[in-house]
Amino acid sequence: MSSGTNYINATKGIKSWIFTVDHKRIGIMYLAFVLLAFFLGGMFAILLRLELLTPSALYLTAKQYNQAFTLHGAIMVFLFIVPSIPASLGNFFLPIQLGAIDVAFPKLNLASLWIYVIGAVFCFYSIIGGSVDTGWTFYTPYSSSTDTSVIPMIMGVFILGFSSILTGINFIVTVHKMRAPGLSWFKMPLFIWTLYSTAIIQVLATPVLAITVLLLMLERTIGIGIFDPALGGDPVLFQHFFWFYSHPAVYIMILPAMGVISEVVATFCKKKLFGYELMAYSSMAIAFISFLVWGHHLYVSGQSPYATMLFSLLTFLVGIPSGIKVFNWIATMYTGSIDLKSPFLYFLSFIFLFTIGGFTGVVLGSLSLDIHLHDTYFVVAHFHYVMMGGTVMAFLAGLHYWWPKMFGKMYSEVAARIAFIFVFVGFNMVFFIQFIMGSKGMPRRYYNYLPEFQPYHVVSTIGSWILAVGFFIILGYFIHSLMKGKQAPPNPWGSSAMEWKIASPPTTFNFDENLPYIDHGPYDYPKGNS
Amino acid sequence: MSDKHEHFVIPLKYYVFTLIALLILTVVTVAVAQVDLGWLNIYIAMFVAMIKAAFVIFFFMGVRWDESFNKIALFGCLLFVLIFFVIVIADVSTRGGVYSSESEMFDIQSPVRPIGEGGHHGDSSHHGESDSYKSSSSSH
Amino acid sequence: MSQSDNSTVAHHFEHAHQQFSAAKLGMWLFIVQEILFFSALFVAYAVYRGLHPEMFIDAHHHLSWKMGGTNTLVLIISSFTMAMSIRAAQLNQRMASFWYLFTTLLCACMFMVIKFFEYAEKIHHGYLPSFWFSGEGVYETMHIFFGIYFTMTGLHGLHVLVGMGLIIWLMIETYKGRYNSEYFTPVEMVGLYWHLVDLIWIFLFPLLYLIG
Ligand code: HEM
Ligand SMILES: [Cu+2]
Repeated sequence: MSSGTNYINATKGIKSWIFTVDHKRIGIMYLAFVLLAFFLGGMFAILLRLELLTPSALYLTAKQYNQAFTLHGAIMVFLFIVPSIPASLGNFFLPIQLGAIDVAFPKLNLASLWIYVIGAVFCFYSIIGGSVDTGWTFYTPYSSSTDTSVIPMIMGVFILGFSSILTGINFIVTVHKMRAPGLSWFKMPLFIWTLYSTAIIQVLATPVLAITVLLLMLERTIGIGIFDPALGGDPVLFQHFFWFYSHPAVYIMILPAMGVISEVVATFCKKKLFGYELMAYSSMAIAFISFLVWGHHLYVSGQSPYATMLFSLLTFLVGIPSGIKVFNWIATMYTGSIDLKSPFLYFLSFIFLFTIGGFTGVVLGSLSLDIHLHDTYFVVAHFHYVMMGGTVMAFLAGLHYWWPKMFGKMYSEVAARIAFIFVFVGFNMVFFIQFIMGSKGMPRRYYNYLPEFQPYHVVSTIGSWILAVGFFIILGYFIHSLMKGKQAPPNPWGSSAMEWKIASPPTTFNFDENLPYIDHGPYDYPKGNS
Repeated sequence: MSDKHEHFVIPLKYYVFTLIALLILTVVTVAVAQVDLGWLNIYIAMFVAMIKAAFVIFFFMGVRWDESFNKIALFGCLLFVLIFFVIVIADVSTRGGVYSSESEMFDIQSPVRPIGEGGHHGDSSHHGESDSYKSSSSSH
Repeated sequence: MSQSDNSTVAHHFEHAHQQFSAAKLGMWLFIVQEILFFSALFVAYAVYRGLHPEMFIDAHHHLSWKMGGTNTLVLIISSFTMAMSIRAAQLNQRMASFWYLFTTLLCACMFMVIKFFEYAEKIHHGYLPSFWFSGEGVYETMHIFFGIYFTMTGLHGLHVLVGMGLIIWLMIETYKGRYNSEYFTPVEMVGLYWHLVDLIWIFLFPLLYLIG
């Protein structure tokens, strides 16, 4: 089974990667780039936490601190978390799970990758040439008046948006047109369902971000006067435009994570996913409702109080489909034969952390509380619990789960568990304390603070070091696995999913002879199938 | 025949008819705009524009004969445009509203008044430009 | 997998029909994203028109509805010829398809020329976005109207330019005889794009030129 030709060694040379149209190679390259972005964003995070060790300035000026958190946020959101799961794991596994040779538009897929790289170059240029200091949200009027390099950064965001849209279009068409014979909609794995609903959001919301940053660019260069109050414009309109994209975008981040989690829980419980149809529908429901709640970011921005009430109500609605999912995952574990491998550990931490993140989201969605909590560390903790505790944990779960398939190598399970402990403990140390800090009134985005907050900040900063150690251990054993790892069997976890029926790593065309005929559901285990 | 899908060629008459309709409707909309009907003008103009758009979509773009999901994609996205539109306009048009309704309910003598709620324009070098949204909320 | 001998079917598709309908769905999704891209501009328009109704009415008198109207007619005709060129390609009428494309291109050029004269006039009188605004008018917020006007028509014009490039490419390929009743996907796709450009203008024209 082992050492045959596969997608990695089928052709040689750097050009065979740069110009490849193989979705697997593109996925791997995306993986490399988003991990690089994660590393860079993480470095900024460590710098930020270090500065916050003391109440007064430690080694950054106020402006440098502003630049550092802006770059941290912008890199993490636009370069890392939005493309993370869909573009890397999604690209790799979507066609395989569909029983297809490739995505519908392989060249577009390649274009999307290199457009992403071009966008990243613009963002890097912004870092070198006078780093932006507006926050990743680019609120006007500050963003239309600051002298830092706003334009390169939003140019980068604009271009990255295109990359995201192209991926979205590609995935939707692939799901519609490239399913293997016999694979009807409700036989698709949930990972595909979530990628599909993510793609819908990508296609519908990202263009609004594109036009928003374009208008901001015009505001800065020719003064069209629609966002800048000095010119008669309305800065709240900018926030509407921005969050019309960026709230749905948080579901671009979390939906694929939910998909990964669904795959992992079924495999490691050897059980059919509880409430499969409901899971599929709730993904679509989340995609839809996510377009109705953006105003919860504008509660204290001078938005109309009537709009505020409406948005608060709608915000509570979005908790419902998310709640359904959490219950279904938990119900799947019930009577399953659980195999406590590292992907499953990440699954457990996902459930735990995402639930905290989601609940605090509902807290923030209620009007009177948000007036107190808005722009405090409570918000910071909320979104880190969903983005890092949710998406990043799921990304790690997916990486550990699919690593043997992608590279054909096993990693050290012992090292993985040790790293998991560091990551889990570190993460909670950094962010749980921020809930408390925030509810006591510590505002976000300040480089110094009142001395009574120092104990909290110290815990948080020490946590960030523990977290960093965890990530370096992960990096270490993954590299080790690539160099010296044991050869992986085709199906190390005993999963029934499509991708585990082919070789590890897969051959260039995924399926050796004919396309598979898929006549059963995705989670074909003896248990849970009534 | 089953695996060789012949492409459907849209009959010529649809194209010609659409062209004529579009030309006529353009003339209509320009003509109506020359008459001052107050607030009605914009609604008529938009109505005509939508009919024109429908002609282009259904016949020139061939949506009438297209696969059903393509139709869903097109008309579904209009729903999201509508959401965007309605909510933003709802916000902008009711921004000052709560102050007037609050003062009605509680008779608050607040020193803070939203701009445009009557006479507080600083110096009156403004050219009588009334903010239609805001004035409507204070006109009762 | 029935390996098709038709060279226009890529390796990962099973047959030409699957490829065509995938391309078409992809194009529709692209159009969807274009619609949302422009939607924010329409929202901005509505907000500022709601806030400054008199200013909008006053400002639009500086636009010439005659030029805008002519451009509308030109675009409609170009849409028609585009549709006809697809039809000709479907019916294997290579040269007819070519000449329809040519007419479309001609209309597009005409549109841009008229646009150029319009812009030149606005610039001459200083009706520009605020950094350069020096036009005369009773309302001090008038630069907002022109900011919106230039953004909307500018982005639309950019789409026309891209469309012209695509049409030129189609003309070359058509001339070479690349398209026939079996394979005309690019013509169909560019056609959809071109109709979208027309659609946007159908709304821009009354909103900017015919405020009443
Ligand atoms: C259960 C569903 C959720 C609800 C009800 C919710 C609610 C909220 C609310 C009300 C705020 C605004 C707080 C404020 O600024 O005062 C907020 C902020 C935020 N949320 Fe959530 N949220 C949910 C899930 C998520 C998810 C899944 C993500 C990302 C993966 C996310 C990411 C964010 C981010 C990034 C911010 C802060 C943005 C900023 O101001 O920089 N949220 N959330
Ligand atoms: Cu939100």
